[in-house]
Amino acid sequence: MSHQEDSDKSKADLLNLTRRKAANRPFFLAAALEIFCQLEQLDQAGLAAYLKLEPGQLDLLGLCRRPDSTTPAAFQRDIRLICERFGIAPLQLARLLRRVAAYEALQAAPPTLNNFLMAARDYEEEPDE
Amino acid sequence: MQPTEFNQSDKGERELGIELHQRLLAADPLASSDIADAYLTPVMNALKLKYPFTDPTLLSDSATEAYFNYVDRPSSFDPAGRSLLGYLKMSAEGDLKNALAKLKLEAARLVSLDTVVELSDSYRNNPIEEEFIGRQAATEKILAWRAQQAADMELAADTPLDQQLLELLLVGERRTQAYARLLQIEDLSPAEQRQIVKRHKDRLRVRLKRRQAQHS
Repeated sequence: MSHQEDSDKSKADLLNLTRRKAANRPFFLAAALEIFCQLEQLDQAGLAAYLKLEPGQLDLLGLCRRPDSTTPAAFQRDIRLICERFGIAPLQLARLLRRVAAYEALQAAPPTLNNFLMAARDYEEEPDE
Repeated sequence: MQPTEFNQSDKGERELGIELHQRLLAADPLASSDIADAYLTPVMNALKLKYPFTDPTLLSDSATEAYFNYVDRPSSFDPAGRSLLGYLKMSAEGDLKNALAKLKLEAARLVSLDTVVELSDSYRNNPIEEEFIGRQAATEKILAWRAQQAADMELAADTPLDQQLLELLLVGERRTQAYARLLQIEDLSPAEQRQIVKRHKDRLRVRLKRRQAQHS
């Protein structure tokens, strides 16, 4: 391995480590991506495929600030900037973040509401043997 | 411009740092990513140069902690003072020194325990043994504590491999190779070894803490 390749790999490893640590920090997009992966049972390759990215791009993507969802204008601006940089379809990232936000809202809801929502879920019958 | 090495003049680096800092303050969603891209490697390289014999896991942890601390509190950086690179290097070195001091304290505590145990052994059957009655009482307490540690360690370890890894952890072993040898992952790249070893260390530390919390 040449010096340049070695240095590139060290850098990639460091960014990967940082992105994995960032997955525990709500400030970073990595945290939302992690939740989405859990909800959709995706690994990193699956997430990269969903966003039509190279897996190596996920580290820098994850280290972006999570788009500000306090106002639609701020959310759109952040989505546009991130998608332009990484070549992601804006609708795809927006959908992903809306899915995560809905899950977080449900998690933050009082237990009674959670129970109500659970009770409202469709009952799935066991398949016949 | 996203340099990974600052071959340009200090002025170029300073200007880049100010620009990225302002973008972070202005809530640009790409700023934190660009800062990581531009600065993590130079900070890590600076630490490697200054601490060539330190476990690289500790170095990378310090570099990433400095980055997260800055992104969490960008106002702690004063662009009128040192450059962003200088600030991050200083912050990372501070974190590293704290981590090293903690490890040193831990190692010193273990060494002093061994010394007390050796002293009590060497004065056995000695005419001046009387003088060491108090010391022996202390030694007994320490031995009891160590027995408890050993019991904790045994309970925290599910497998003989975990037991061996825990022993290394408790004696303050910091070299990745020592753990890699036990885990039989020496054929992997150093980065992969560090990653796997760190995962095992973290897992065992959590388990040991849980055991110790049950006693306290």
